[in-house]
Amino acid sequence: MDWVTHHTLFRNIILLSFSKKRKFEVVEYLCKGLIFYPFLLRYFKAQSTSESIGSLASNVGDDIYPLF
Amino acid sequence: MSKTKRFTERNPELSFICFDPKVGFWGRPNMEGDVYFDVRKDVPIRVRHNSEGIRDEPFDQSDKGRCLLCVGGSYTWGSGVEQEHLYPKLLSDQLGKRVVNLGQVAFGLDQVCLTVLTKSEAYSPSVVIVEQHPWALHRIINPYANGGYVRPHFRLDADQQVTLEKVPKHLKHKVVRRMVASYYAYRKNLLEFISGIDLSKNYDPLFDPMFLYWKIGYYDYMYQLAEKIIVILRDYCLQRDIKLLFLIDSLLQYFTKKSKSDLVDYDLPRDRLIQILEKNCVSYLDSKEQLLCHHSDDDPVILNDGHLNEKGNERVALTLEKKLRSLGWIG
Repeated sequence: MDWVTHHTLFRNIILLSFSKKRKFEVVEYLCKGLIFYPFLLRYFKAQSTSESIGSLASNVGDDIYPLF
Repeated sequence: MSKTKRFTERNPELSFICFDPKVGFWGRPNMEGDVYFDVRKDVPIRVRHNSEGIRDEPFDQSDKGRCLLCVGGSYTWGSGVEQEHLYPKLLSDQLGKRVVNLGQVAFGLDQVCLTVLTKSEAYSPSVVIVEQHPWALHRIINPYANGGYVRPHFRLDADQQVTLEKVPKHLKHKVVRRMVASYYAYRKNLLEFISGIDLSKNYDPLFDPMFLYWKIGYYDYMYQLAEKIIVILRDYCLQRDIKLLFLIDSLLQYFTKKSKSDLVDYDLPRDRLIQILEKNCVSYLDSKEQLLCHHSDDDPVILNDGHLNEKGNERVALTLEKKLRSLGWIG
């Protein structure tokens, strides 16, 4: 479970960073993710044992509204 | 001493706040200046805080025990509007009773609750009016506040019990506070990213995720938490024989254009809030219909950013008086 949390968190930090358009933002988010990693890990570990966080939002509709 | 300031940043009001250990931030006492809000760039608005850090006249102790409190965000604080045109002041004139304006910009429902719990006793109000913008409910799940401040925040533990995360005292130091605020801002971005929400790319308020049916799941926790906070408020007021009324703001989106899809519903957060209030027997006033019927493009009730203008404040004050009298709370 710990390894999964580590892996998932690290992966999401990388994905978030590289979702940014500008290079300095990529670096900024990467650095922040690494600096805040211990705190984020503690937070996500706590959430993984709690059922109080709502389910992940669906991405299904994300490709719909550009058509409006 | 007055001083003229000109602001071009997005939230000029944030210059009027400072660290507060109980609610995260509060109005800077005895501050005064002319502010050029973005929505009224050519018109300076005089902003004046009294010694209590609120945008109101000094409180007379003889009013203690028989005044009304208005607690809320920038609608109550009065972004873009002169102090004498704000609805708490107008309501006070209409009722012949002291109405205290405890509004603070960027306040969340959690901070409103803590304001009532920790600061209202100084006024011993007979009525508390909580002004809540439905969209702003998201603030209770985001401890980061604009300007590098951190909110105290409630959260639900595994047993659905409410716990309060207070603001640590060391956050009074700006450098430390900015680092902690930066962490919360990053965490917010990460959580939203994981849930497929990206507010940084071409953000369109007409498609804010709060209004999207396929993003409901992300906000379920927020509504659960909001209900707990509202119950805390309700019970606090009940114990002290204080009447509690929620004033539900109208969204800017109501006045622009209707959503083009049944999957995008601007009433989504409002309807959920009303559902919570009714379930917990909390009185409320929904300003939507009153403001819409008095609004036109030539004679609007709101400013371009959605805040109430002078006419909007008048309508809210009149509607509030009518509501309070219908409830029998005003003699």
